[in-house]
Amino acid sequence: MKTINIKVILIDDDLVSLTILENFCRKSGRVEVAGTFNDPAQALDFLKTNIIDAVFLDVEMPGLSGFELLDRLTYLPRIILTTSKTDYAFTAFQYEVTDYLKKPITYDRFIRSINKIEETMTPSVIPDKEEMGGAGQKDIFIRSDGKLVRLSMDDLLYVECIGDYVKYISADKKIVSHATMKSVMEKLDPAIFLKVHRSFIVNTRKIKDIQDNTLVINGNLIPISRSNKAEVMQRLNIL
Amino acid sequence: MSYQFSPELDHAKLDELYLGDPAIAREVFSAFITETSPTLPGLQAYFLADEKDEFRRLIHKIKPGFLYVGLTDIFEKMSAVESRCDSIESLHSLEEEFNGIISLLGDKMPVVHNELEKLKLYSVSQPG
Repeated sequence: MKTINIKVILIDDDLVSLTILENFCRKSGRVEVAGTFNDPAQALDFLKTNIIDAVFLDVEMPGLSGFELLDRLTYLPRIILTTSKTDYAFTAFQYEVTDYLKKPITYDRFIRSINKIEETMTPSVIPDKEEMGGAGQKDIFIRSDGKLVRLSMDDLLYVECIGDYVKYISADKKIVSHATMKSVMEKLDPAIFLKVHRSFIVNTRKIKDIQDNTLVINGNLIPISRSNKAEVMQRLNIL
Repeated sequence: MSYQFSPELDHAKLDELYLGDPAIAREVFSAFITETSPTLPGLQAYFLADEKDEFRRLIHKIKPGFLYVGLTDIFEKMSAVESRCDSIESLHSLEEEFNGIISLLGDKMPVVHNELEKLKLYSVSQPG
């Protein structure tokens, strides 16, 4: 397996805070700093044309606050808020940030944030046959109505989670089963299937088109959540 | 022998921040002196001109830097002043608090400068 290299940018109007974060990134050996910005407007321009994995983002900055910057993004990378106040915790929760770091940031606490980012990233390697359980794993068996129903992964269009149930959609079948998104994701080929929303996993080979935060598979509109948009965009072969 | 921060600074916090890595401390102290020190006259100017919004903005921007150089007491006083900015009409009502900060800065900034020199000397004394 290849080590995950996390590509980040750092945004803070205080250069001292940027300096320590940049040094921690270098020290970790796991993080590539694609840019440091003390002007949030410049960071926003960078993010319009570059896909990155995570942003270390100060909240209170002149001109554009961290939250205003998030509102203007067309996709949402993983966000680590950095602030000397705890007042923003509730708003941070609403923005589904990956972590919230209170200054001064220690190296140990920084590494915990890096671990959290890694946990949300799909490894950028395709598991080999052995890891996938060998040949024959292109089909899955779904327990439904007291029987096991075979479904080819190639035919599976997408999976929708509804409460404690999961609906598997193919071109000619809809199978409902008692399961969780997590357990389904563990069974599917991560090279093909991608979680695009808390309730949807899609077969990336079946996506017909994407507009804003919605994708289309076989005529069905599927929402892409802000927190999953970055990974969706990374997985597409965009010209 | 590991690096010992000056007892005049919050050395417990500095040990926690830079444990085993004085090279990072050197870079951060250097950034503080390059970036934060030159803003201090501006802070005083905003205070004297009673420009509350600019004063508050600058306090907010620079105060985390004090945490990273072991000036926790100045950070706390700056935080208190920043919070009070929301509830006052004029900065003049913060005169006592601000003068306290200025006095502390006068005492502690030379300590920070000395610490950077110590860190530089330490780095050249280390093998490799």
